Amino acid sequence: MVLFSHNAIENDFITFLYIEYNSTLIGHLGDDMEIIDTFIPVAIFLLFGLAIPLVIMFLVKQLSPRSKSPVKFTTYESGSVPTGSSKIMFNVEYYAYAILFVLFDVELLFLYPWVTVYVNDVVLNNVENFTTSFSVFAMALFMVVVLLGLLYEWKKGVLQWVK
Amino acid sequence: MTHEATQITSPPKSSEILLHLGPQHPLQPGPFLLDLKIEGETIREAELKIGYIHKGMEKVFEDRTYIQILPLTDRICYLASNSNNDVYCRGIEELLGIEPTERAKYLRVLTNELCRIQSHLLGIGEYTTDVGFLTMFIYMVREREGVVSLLEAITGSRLNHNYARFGGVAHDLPPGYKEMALKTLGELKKLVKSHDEMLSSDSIYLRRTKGVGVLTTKVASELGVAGPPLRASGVNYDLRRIEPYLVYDELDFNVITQTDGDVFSRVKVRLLEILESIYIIEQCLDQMPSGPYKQDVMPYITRPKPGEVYSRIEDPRGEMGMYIISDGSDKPYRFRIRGPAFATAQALPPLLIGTYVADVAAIAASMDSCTSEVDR
Amino acid sequence: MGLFITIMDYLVIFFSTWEFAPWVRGILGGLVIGAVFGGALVMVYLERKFLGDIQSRIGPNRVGGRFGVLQLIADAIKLFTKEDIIPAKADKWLFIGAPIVALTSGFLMVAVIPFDLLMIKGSEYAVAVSRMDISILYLEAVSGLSIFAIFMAGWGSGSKYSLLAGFRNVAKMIGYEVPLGIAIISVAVMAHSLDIVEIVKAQSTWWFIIAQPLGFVVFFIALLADVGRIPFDQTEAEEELIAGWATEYSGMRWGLAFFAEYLHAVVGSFIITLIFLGGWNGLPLIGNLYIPGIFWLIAKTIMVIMLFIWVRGALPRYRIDQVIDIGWKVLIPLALLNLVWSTIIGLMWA
Repeated sequence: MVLFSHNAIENDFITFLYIEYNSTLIGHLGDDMEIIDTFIPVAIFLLFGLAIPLVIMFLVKQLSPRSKSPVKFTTYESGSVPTGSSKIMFNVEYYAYAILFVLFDVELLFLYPWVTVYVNDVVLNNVENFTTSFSVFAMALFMVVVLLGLLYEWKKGVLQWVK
Repeated sequence: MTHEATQITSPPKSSEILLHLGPQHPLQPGPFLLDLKIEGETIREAELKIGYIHKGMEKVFEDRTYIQILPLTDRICYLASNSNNDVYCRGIEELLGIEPTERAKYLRVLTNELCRIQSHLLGIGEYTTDVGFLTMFIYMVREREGVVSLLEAITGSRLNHNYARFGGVAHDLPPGYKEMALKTLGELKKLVKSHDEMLSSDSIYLRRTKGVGVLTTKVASELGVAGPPLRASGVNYDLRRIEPYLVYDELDFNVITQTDGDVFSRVKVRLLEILESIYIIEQCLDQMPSGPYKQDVMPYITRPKPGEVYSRIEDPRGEMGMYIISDGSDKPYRFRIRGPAFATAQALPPLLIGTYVADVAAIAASMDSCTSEVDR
Repeated sequence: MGLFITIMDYLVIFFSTWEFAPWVRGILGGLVIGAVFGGALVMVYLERKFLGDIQSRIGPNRVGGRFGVLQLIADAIKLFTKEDIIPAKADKWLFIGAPIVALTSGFLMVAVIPFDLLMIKGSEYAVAVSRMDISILYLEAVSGLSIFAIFMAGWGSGSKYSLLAGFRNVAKMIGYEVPLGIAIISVAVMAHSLDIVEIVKAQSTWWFIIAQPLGFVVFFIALLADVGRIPFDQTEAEEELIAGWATEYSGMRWGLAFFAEYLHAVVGSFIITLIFLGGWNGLPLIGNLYIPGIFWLIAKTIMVIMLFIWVRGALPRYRIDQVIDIGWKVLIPLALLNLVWSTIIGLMWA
């Protein structure tokens, strides 16, 4: 198995934009060039994504009928006349989850750079037993702390839909 | 949960919405309005408003001759048209002082049970779509086709059968009916058993139904709920057993009850009742005597003697009763229908309070109340 | 201004060095758009036909011969000629923006999906519109935009059903984004890279579904929730919420939102194929059998789509509180377990 083809793993997540690409397609260009090469197609797709609905809706405007009846523009509520506004202070019954979600999403963000770093740590430092690898140990410690938090909240009964 | 709490009393607070479900909503078999006051996903108060398809049937009946009323009884609830015909005819027969012939009694039991099967199949099907299980609905409709075809072979129509007559029935069985019926029902029995197995083992289905919308025995009996919802709450009440009409006392069957009173039990009762009905039909086909299927001579115009009668029947949704007063003319003086769906419908709002919006459809469909009959 | 000059430089270099062959990229981009558009249409058609088979129905059988192949064209004509209504109570810009955001997020996801890896004169060319070294992270980030789209539609429609659906959507996202991310990381851990091309290359002998079946299950369930299909279609549960967030949408505007949803499902199927089912690699141990990799990829993707439809035909819908409960109390522990497992396995293999 090809273990690792990148040669700039030492860099951390923030500097991912500068990782040298080993694709021969753009290999001999500078870093700036590479970013552009990667993201210009994305930008073109972004424009496409924005433009296609607009074009389609323009076509629809030409093809479809228009009506002026105010009844057509009322909100549908199963045939009843809607009472009250829908823009209310909605009671978010899952806020406990939402708070935890923020925590776990941050944890995920830590995991992403770790993915590319840890094996390098093991291989480059010639760690015999991977449990002694610093990156694995550090991440395990971090996860245990986060998990303990989750278990604590679970045990306390916070993890539930609050009626 | 009290059964007084069936009205929305105060306007919604700033975090609450008044949500109208109805009169045109996918969860409904017919138009009614369910007003819900919800906070987040939880229902705080619920109110049921009916009357969108009020037909004034009872008053209409008072202006029709007895024989003209007969086809109209089909329209009270199109899923129980046979039962409605039968209960009306038995009322008039009591007023006239005649008995249906022995063969006609068996034929009526046979068609009533077929009617119950097709109503339950559709009821379960509607229920399963309401928990997002469209496949089961289509399977149920497919199974129902066979049963409806069996009814069509006897009565000539698929929905509004208009089969019972005073003192008899409209048609005899077609030739070769027994073999056809046994074949269809044998297949149906297998399919219903497999569906029952599936619905009792699917973990998502169980999570959606177990312990949801619990109708306690006390509330159920206080509100006059009848039929499968009542039996699912643990009350062993079935008119076929308590007050055996036609030939039910000669037939062997079990009254299905469940104890939990939740959505799951109500559907389970219906599934098992289908199997019981198949058993009853098989007995009917075996024991049916030969002989006339209608009275030899009936007067051209029905004029019962003055008097009053209350006849009732266990229709697919529970106890259906008709109270008829005759003044000796060819039209009833007073006609009153006691429908099971009405009682079931009034038990719905208290069940909804405290549940989730997502369960409204499931609970409403599990009661299987027929809007057409509620509004009459 | 600086960016503009950079772009100009880029274009000059682009056109002066022939091996860049911008037109190759252009054609490729067009093909990819066409393929994924086609894929979404195929999925809509398959859904009708295959779901029909599951439910013992016939499905479309009138327009375009016995198999109704032209049904979608008929539908498109209908949608194009239907009146476009923006309700008076709606927040106009949110209402208009929602389908656009949903569709754009789909397009942005498509941009990094690699379809094959070609070896030309000893160098590798990934058949992708754009090759990034963080493509899987990018995919997750961009797919998150569709959640905003649904919330925009839900809040902007001014309908109470849509409002409920919008908040349900957020609840679902909260429940499933984390297990989805952890499952992706478990894969990346074994491939030592966040680049999908590298992830697929790492599967040339063994697919990751064999190495971490638990991860596949978690990812599949979370993906079902992410693209909002039964049993996780609470946002458009028609029995309670009419059409959920799409209640007020009509005509082509609804068509766009609907199409974006299928686009997400198709891209999701591509992702699951790429990161768990070996992508363009043939069968484990047997290899490609002289069939080009792109056909393997597409065949496997269609299998995944069929699996989606099968699940839809076979299961009822969860309630929203159960959804979030399962996400946190079942899937996240399982996903973390799988992460530990894949870290160990990945290091052993390394």
